[in-house]
Formats: sequence, C-alpha cells, structure tokens
Amino acid sequence: MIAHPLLQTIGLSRSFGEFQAVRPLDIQIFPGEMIILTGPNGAGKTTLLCCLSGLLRPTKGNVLVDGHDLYQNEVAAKQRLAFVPDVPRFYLELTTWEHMRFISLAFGVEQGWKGRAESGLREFGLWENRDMYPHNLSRGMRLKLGILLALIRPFKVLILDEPTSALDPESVIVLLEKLTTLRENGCAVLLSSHDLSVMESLNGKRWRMERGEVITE
Amino acid sequence: MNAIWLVRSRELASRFRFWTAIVGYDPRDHSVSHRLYLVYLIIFFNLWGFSVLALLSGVGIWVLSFFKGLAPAMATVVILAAGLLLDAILRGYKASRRSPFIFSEEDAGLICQTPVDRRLVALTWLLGDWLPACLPFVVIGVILCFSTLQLAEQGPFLWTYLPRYWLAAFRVTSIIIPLHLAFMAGDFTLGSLRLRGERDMPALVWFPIGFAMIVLSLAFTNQGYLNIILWPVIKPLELGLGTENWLLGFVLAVFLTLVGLLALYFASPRLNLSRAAQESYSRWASQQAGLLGDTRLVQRMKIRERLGVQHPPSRVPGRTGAWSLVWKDSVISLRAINFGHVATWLVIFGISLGMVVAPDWGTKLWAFFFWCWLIGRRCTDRLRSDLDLWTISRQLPFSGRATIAAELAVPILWTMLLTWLAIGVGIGLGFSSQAYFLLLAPVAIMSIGLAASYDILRKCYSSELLAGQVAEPGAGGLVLGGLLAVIPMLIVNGVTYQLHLPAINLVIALFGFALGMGVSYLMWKLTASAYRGIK
Repeated sequence: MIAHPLLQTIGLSRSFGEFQAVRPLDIQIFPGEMIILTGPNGAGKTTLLCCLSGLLRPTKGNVLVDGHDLYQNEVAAKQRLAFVPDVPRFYLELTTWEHMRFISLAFGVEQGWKGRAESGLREFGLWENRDMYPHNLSRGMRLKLGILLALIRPFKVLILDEPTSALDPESVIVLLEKLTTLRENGCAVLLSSHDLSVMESLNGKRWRMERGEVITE
Repeated sequence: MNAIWLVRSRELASRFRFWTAIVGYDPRDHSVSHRLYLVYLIIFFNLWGFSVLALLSGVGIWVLSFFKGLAPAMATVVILAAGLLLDAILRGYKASRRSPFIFSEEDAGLICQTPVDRRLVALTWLLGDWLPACLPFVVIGVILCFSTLQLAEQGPFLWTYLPRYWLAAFRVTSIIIPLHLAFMAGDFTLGSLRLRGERDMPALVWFPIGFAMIVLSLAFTNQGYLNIILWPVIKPLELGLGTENWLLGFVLAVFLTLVGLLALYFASPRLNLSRAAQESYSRWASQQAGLLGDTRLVQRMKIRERLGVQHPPSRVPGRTGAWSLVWKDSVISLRAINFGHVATWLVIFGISLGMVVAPDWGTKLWAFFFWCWLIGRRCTDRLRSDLDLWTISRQLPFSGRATIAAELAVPILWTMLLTWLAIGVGIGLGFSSQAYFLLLAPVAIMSIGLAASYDILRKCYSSELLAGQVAEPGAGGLVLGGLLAVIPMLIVNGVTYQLHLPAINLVIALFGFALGMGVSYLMWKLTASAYRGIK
C-alpha cells in the first residue's frame, strides 16, 4: 500500500509586491519523514513555513494536510498540524500553565492534559515557572513554551522554525529526542535550522532553500 | 555647561521639538523667514489661547454656580487648593511607591552609573518635569479667574477689559506656578527619601495617606483646624485672586517653593540613581510610545506592569472546542479589569439611557451614533487582541463562524444586558413609547458588532498580522453597522406611527426582530468568510 503524503503543496508560491519570496513549489512529506530546511538568511524559509502552517496566505497554490485543504477544509487540516514560530508570542494575561490549559481545551484534549503538561514543563525546565506570565520569561523559555504548546495537542505534521536558536544544550537534547520519537510514531516533521549539530543528530532529509526555491535531495 | 544639565536640556529640547514639529517650526532653522514664522506663531497662539480661555470662562461660571453661599473668588480658591492638594497627594503616593525620577535608557547608562552630584540630578529632573505638570492648573486657574471677572462685570465682554483680564491672569498664574513647584518638590523629596541607598522604606507611603486622612477628617469635623493646616496654600491663592497684597501672596508662594527645594536638596545626596532608573524604565518607555501615538503598546505596558510576575491558575471552569475562546476571554477579562473597562460599560449604559430619554430626534441620533461607535469598539476588542496573536489564533481548529461567534458572544451579551437595563430604567422614568426597543436592541447590537468585525477583517492582511499590526475599526464599519441596526427600528417605528394600532405593535416589533436576526445572520456569515479569507 502506498502511503499518502501528510503534507503536500500544489503550485504554492508567495510574493510581496514584485518580490517573489517563495517560487512555485510542489512538495510532499510522508509519514515518518523528517525534513531539515536550510539556506541563507532571506532565502524564504520562514515565509514558506508560515505558508505551510496557514499563517501566511500563499499568493497561489494549495496546501494539503493529510489530504485536507488548509483553506477549504481548515478545521480538519488544523487539527492535524502544529507550528512553532521562531519568536512565539503569548497572551499577556495568561500564565504559562494557563496557556497549556487553553491550547488543550481548544484542541479538545480534556483527558490527561495535566499530566502531559506537567511532564513537558518538567522536561524543559519550566515547571518552576508555570505560574509566571510569559512576558517575564527569558527568550529561550518563551521558545520552550512555544514548543510545548505545539506538543501538547494532537497532530500529524509538526513544523518548527529554528526551534533550537535560543535553547540551552539540555533542552536541545530533549527536543531532538522528542522529534525522533514523533518521527518513529509516524508524524511528519519539517524544521528549519542553521545548526549543523542539529542536522547531524536528526539524520533527516535536507532541503536547501535559495532565493525562494527549494532544492530537495 | 554642567554635564547633567546638558543631558537634561537636550532631552527637554527634543521633547519640545516634538511639539514644535506639529506646527511646522524647526528650532534649528535660523533663517529670517523662519524667525518671522516664530513671531507669528507666538502672537497667534497667545491670541488663540486667550480667546479659548475666555470662551471657556462660560464653563467656569457654570462650575462656580455649584458653590452656593461662596463668593466666586473664594470658590475659585477652594477649587484650586483642592486640585493642587489632590494632585500633590496622588503624586506623593506614587513617589512613595515608585521613583518619581524618570530616566531613559540612555540616562541609565550616561548618568546613573557615574558619580555625579545626586542633588543636582534631583533638582534638574524636578524642573524638567514640573512645567508640563503645572500647565493644567494654570489653565484651570486662568479660566476660573476670567469667570470671576465676568461675574463681577455682569455684562458682555468688552475689549477695554482686556488689560484687566491679562493682569488677573498674570496674578493667579504667578501664584499657582510656585505653589505647584513647592508641592512637586515635596513629592520628589518623598521619592528621594525612599530611594536612599539600597534600603526600601515602605512606611513612607503613609505620609500622603495620613495627610489625606487628616485633611478629610478635619473637613467634616473641624474646619477651623483645616484652615490653619491649609493656610500656606489658601492664603497665597486668596491674595492672588484678590485685588490687594498680591506681592505678599507671591512672596509666600515663593517661600514655600524654597522650602520644598531645600528639602529636596537635603534629601537627595544619597539618591540611588540605579534603582530609580530600574523602576522608571517602563514609565519612560510608555511615555515614548504615547508620544508616538502607539496606544496599544502603552496599554500593553500598563497591563504588564499591573499583572506583575505570576498568578495562581484561574479557577474559571473551561470547556473544549470554541468554548475555550470564551474561557480564555473570561480569564483575561477578570484579570485585566480596570477602571477604564468599567467606565466604558458605564458610558454604554449612559448613552443607551440617553437614547431612550432624549427629548428630540436630533439628540437621539447623536446618541445612537456614539452608541454604535462604542459598541463597535467594545465588541471587537477581543477579536483584535486575538488577531494580534496571529501565530496562536490562526492555528486554532475552529471554523470561521465558530471563531466569530465565540469572540463576539460575551461582549454582545454584556452590551445587551446593559442596554436592556437602560431601557428598563427609561421605561421606569415614564418613557414607555420606546418599549419595542427592548426587542430590537439585541439584533441592533449584533449587527453593529458584526459590521465592525467585518470592517476590521476586510482590512487585515496575514503578512501584517504576523508582524502584530491589526487594523482599527473604521468609519465603514460604523456606517454599515449603524444602517443595519437602524433599518428594523425605522420600519417598526414608521409602521406603528402610521397605523396607530397598538394591538398589533408587538407583531410589528416581532417582524422587526426577525428582520434584524436575518440581517445579523447574513452579517455573521460574511464576517466568518472574511476571517477565513484573510489574504
């Protein structure tokens, strides 16, 4: 039986006025695949990841998540997709713990969310800061919270934009282990990174992006 | 020039340039034409200011009319003394909790880390902040002074009175300015005492509180003692507003100022500037954001400051799905509630009541216009806040319709309840002819909220939302919402007026309600589609 792609783009492109940030792109990512997107600054990596996660509307083309169109069948597509931006932003008035609660509720995770939230916070060293407002956390801690908000919900495709850029070495190890486990469990993972050690540790496929074009292996 | 004064004067000049830029004057341009323009500006703003203050003296007369049994000049003294004292107590309270010296990021590096004379820093910073803070009192003093003169003349304003007005304005200003400086110096002294070395002095907060309690208790029990305590404030004001002994009043006010400045001079040698810089950074940043007109940033900074560092988990029960948005909004509302929020709801209630009891259609229309604008803003607050956090809100697995419903449900419900309450009060007051509005108000509120949301969403772009730039509700949404809300009301009002059949009024109102619901449903679909289709 041939597996169908968990993430697929059909003629996806994104322009800002005259400038084409992402050139027409057809890609497929299958279950258990780990893709590491590399490339120089300004190549269009973040723009592409934002388009794939639905945060940025493509100028042309479609994104399919597990066969569901991200813009036509958005609820089904979003239930299968998680995205971690490079600089996550949070509600001023909700604490770290309440953010976990909110995302759990939003994605219908009522059973066992507390245990998952606690173990995640402990693994990333945020348990002591669970009652703190995110604006009082350091940059690295906010990135960890962003990662945890993605991991606490169910998904089949995980997209991360430079997830290790502000993390301490212990947390990088925890994250890499989690990504490897997710991959083994059949999730598709796409992340951008400049970190060579991350690329080597993850042993995934490398895609290079240059001037809006993706060069696959 | 002294280094501290050099830094401070540059800062003040930069602040001053912000205002001169608004009128197109550049202090660095030394051309003849530009100097002539400066002369023109000075003459124009003097005349304009004088005219505005003279016009506002009508309001002053209205205010003074509340002080029955007191001569206008004495009532003015009471108002000014109360205002100055209240301002001083509030400033003193703030200064005893947080640094009154506001340092910028550059100051923190340039001045606060160097062994400069702390007394000079304290005095320089006081003088820099004092004039803008004093201006409102000068304006109020001059207006009330003009009102007192007008009441004394009992006739129309004549140009021959002009020198008398100028003289009176000068007299009262010359008293208020040193008095205000004396009070501010006292407040800064309190701040300097608190910021001595590394030790915190929380007990200092009881000085302004204690003084306020003494004044309040004496005001109700023993006015003789109160007059003795407040004599240094009241006497100069009395002399400034009277016709004789102005010089004595001025000398008294200046003496008080000298006392205040000396107190600050002796209290500030051990002023810990690093602590002051740490405490005042957010206030400085907030001031800068305010000058740039970024009200959202100012609001966010204030919320951050108020929230503090942490909070135990909320006990509000939550439900899964789109209800989670309601849970989140409830937690945020409970935590971020402040006087501003409550005041907005009270204004909505007041205007709703105003629409019911207003005597003519012109007033009703103005009230309706303002009502639509307020509801549009209030109902879209949460939606805008979620759009601001696009990276979170866009990932939530809800349809456009569910999202819009969840975002607007709570504010619409609140507005509805307040409007009903206002209509109920209006009916209770005998304005029963608008009873049908009870039925039409909910659909009108829904239409206005949805139209405002649609207006915001149609102006949003995903690339801008990613950068945290959310569109404001504009005139388009206001007009659309107003029209959608008013159509059912006009139909119901017109038909009931034409038919004169009270028996079927309810049927007509129900028809209007059904029509409004239909319009709201279509607007909901349109808004949800705009949310999904953000480019």
